[in-house]
Amino acid sequence: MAEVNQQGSIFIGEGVSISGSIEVPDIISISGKVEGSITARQVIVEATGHVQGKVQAEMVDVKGSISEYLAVSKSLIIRSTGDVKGTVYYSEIEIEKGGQLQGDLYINA
Amino acid sequence: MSMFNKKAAPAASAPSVPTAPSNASSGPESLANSESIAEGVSVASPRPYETSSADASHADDASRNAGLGLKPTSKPSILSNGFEFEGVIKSDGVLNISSSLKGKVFAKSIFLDVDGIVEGEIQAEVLTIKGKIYGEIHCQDLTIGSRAVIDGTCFYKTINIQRGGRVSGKLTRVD
Repeated sequence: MAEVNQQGSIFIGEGVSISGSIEVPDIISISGKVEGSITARQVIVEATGHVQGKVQAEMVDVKGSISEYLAVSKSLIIRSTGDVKGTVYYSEIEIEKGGQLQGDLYINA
Repeated sequence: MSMFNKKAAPAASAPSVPTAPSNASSGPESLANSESIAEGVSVASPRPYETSSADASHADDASRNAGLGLKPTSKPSILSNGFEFEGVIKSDGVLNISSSLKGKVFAKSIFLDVDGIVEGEIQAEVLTIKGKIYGEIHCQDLTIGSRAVIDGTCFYKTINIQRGGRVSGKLTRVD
């Protein structure tokens, strides 16, 4: 966990609830609840993390849940406990068995 | 008894949906297969009780089919590359598609190989896609390979997408 607490990164612990607009130059690791919009280079949603709103990132790794809108310019990985709902834009996608994905999918041109 | 076996054996060895030019060489085989095509638009895999089950090499098929809940002697129907079909295909077994299909496909388990292209509707319990599908997909277990292209609506229970798979359209999870 200490390795994500670097310059440009933010770590949201379990039980922490934050709402608003977050702009992260590097990595955002979410184990709590985020409501609003996130723009980051890399978004990691841990098993206890929930994101509701708009997420824009280069790489997204989901073990928890993301709802509403997700735009990934590079790769999206949904782990076996991951759950993504809503409108999803991606370039590359991987879903482990057990992962859930619902909604409208679009491949970036 | 021997005549019965002779008629059963070609049906067991040949795929249930043959490509017309390649079967022109073997006489009795092409006769049996052209009969099955003349029956109607929908093509089904050979009924298990018609095929000879004395083959030891089909032990693997038997155990796999048993795992899927299929009759132990049912064999996969194979649609090979180069075959083009337009219409409705129904099978209660395993369907192996490398061909181009337009229309509807209903089966228990479908394996769409890299060369396979399906336009229309697919319904299966287990669906493995390595080719292209444009249209509607209804299945329980959906596995999408790295060279797969899917454009359309998918209804699934469990999903597994390997890196490289391109899925666009609407996905819905149904229990």
